[in-house]
Amino acid sequence: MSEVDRDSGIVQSTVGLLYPFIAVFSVYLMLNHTTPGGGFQGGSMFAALFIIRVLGLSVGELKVEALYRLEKLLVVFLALIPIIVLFSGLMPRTPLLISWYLKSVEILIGVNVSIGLTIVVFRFVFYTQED
Amino acid sequence: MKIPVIGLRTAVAVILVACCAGGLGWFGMLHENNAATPVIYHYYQRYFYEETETRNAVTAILLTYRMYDTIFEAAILLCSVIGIAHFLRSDIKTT
Repeated sequence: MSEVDRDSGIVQSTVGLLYPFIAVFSVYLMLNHTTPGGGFQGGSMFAALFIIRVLGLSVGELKVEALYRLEKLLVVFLALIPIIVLFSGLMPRTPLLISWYLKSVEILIGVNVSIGLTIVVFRFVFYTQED
Repeated sequence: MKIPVIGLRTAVAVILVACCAGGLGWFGMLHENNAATPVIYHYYQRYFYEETETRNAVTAILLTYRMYDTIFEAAILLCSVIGIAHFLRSDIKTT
């Protein structure tokens, strides 16, 4: 990583230009819950946002330990919310709850995937920087 | 030049593995035309909206009928993150 010029103006301006588009598109993918499978794709795009932020804009290190704790908490919530909603029998009677349930599960999956991929990439980046 | 000789144990192991794989394949093909699959297919097609109020059948299956699949996918991601974090961190500490 040491050979990469982090203060390159071309990289910084391109990343700055792409930044809002990636953010908006990933949120759109996560919230578009009527069609299946937006959580993982939106989450990986959101992880790309974190990654280009550090690799391209040379902003300081993210706190990987806090992300790690958040990831574990999110998996617990991702298991709890469906269990509460699906096993309580509320599902067919309340359409508003179902809409919120689908949205929340997709967002949880997306944030979970984005944090997981960010942790993985950062581990590898800082591991290779140690050498 | 010495020709490698396959021992009896290796031959028996290879035959056993081949028989197991073939038997599993045959067993799977036996149940290919099982009557259960079309019933589930028609059930989903007919009742997914009444039961889940979801506008897309695939979303209904992924997020309600087979939510365990999604939960454990997230758990597998967590497991891989734990593995990577653990192994890389220990390497950094020792070197």
